[in-house]
Amino acid sequence: MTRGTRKREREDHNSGTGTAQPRLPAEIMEEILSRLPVKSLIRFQGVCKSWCNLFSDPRFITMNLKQSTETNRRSRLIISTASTFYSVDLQAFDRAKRLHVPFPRPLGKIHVLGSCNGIVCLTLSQHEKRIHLWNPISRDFQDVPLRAFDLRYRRMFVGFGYNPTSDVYKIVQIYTFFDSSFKSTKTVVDVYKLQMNAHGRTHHLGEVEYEIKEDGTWLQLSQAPGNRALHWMARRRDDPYNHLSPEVLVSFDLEDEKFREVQLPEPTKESGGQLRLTSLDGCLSVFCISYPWDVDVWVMKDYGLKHSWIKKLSFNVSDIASGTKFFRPVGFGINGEVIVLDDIDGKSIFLYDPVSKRTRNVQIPGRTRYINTYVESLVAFRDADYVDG
Amino acid sequence: MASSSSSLPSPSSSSSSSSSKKLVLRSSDEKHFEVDEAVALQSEMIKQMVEDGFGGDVIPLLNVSSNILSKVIDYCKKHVDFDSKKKMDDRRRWDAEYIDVGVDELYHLIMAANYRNIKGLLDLTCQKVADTIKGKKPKQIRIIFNIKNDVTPEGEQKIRKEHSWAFE
Repeated sequence: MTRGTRKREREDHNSGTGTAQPRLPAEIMEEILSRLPVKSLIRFQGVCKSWCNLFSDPRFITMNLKQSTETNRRSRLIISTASTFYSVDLQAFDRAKRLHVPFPRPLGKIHVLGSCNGIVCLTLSQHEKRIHLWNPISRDFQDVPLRAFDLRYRRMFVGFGYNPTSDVYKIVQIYTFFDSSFKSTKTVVDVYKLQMNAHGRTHHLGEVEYEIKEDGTWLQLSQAPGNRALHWMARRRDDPYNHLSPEVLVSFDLEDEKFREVQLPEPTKESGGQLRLTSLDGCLSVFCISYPWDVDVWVMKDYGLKHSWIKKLSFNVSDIASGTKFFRPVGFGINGEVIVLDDIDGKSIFLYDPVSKRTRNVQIPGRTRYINTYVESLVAFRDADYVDG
Repeated sequence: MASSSSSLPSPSSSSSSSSSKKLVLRSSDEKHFEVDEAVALQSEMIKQMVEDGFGGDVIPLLNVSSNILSKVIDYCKKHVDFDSKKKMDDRRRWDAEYIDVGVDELYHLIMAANYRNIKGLLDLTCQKVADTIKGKKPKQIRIIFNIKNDVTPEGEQKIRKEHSWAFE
């Protein structure tokens, strides 16, 4: 930015002059505004034109997001039931607030494909060839028509993630179908790339060597290249239907668009426990669940280095809630508490502090289908329309 | 301490008892403050000056008055202690008390933190302003920051209508 524009902006932010009130430099004003909750920023669009422009500037939006992420303020849970959404404040952890949804009540079931940087990626019906990107806090809602998107494929999984290195969001579609002879299947990948201020583009990536079993998870990791990757639990494609073959942890680097295996901690392989991916203090982390409900939490201190896995925590579900028969560990709260969903009724969410052994509980009015931690942001894709590329 | 900003440490006596290296800072109103080097180096600007060889002399801080400088030094001293102990709760409590000041003082602290490049203090002061204004109405914001309203009444109405939830 040239000195001239800086100066002009500075004047813009402080249009009024000539009073005794001291004026703050533009960069300080931005620093202050970037710390405001999204709701205040939306309201303050009407303060003056330069603020309104500032709040839709991707650079400012990223600044605001960084503040929310780093300070851990405004961290929430986002929960979808079959027909609507709820949010739970992770600081207060007192109630599930029903979110305003900008779309009509879906005929089928809401299917959340992933969430990242305050944006939820979802479909409303398995018959529509489009994905929606929704910001529940700013209430922005955008359709992303996708050429190849069709849930009727034999298997279709999606990952939605952000690459801070290039400031690009990507929707990664992985779908499996029979080849023309109907004798074997193949799994191929399409990548839809989008930025806050540019049209989206799809490109075909080719075949993948893994049989993916779930939608990809984007985790808020602090270490490159982990912070620009999607992660899945998967099986190698040479033996996808042999359920005795071990699951592997696969990453997809959103920068070079390559799949890689991340080595799991050795003891989790031996235990045969069920693995769920999460993140703790910015590090890649897994819950290893062995029946009856012993849970180990493993953390990879240096991303990609196998020997850096450490066992951070162990607990049994009876420490959290006696009588819970099935449950799903979801992730971690602001102060390192474990978030656990009762998977029998899908309505009770527990926040368990492993230090004090105290548990708090919030009830959801419907059965939980998707649950994830979530940070509020102003991120929006106003030009998400599909452009053939 | 935090609440006693009225009882300024007298100039040149604000140093701690340790025998570590001292630096002398001079405020805009020509008062001298002797502080431990570790305390002064919380400021990136001073750190840079020391690296450039100004360490032996009096360091002039042209934009910072003595009462604000002593308050800034309070902050830096306390945070040198905190850095060596890492007690987050204590730090939060101390910060909250420290920053409980009037608008004028807050403004000068922001400017001093920015000028001297003290990241922690800049974060603290900016967050304080954000917390103070987050619940306000656009009209009140214009008064606080002395901003001229260049949005048409129709434009304002439109924002209010499209985002009525943000005004609840």
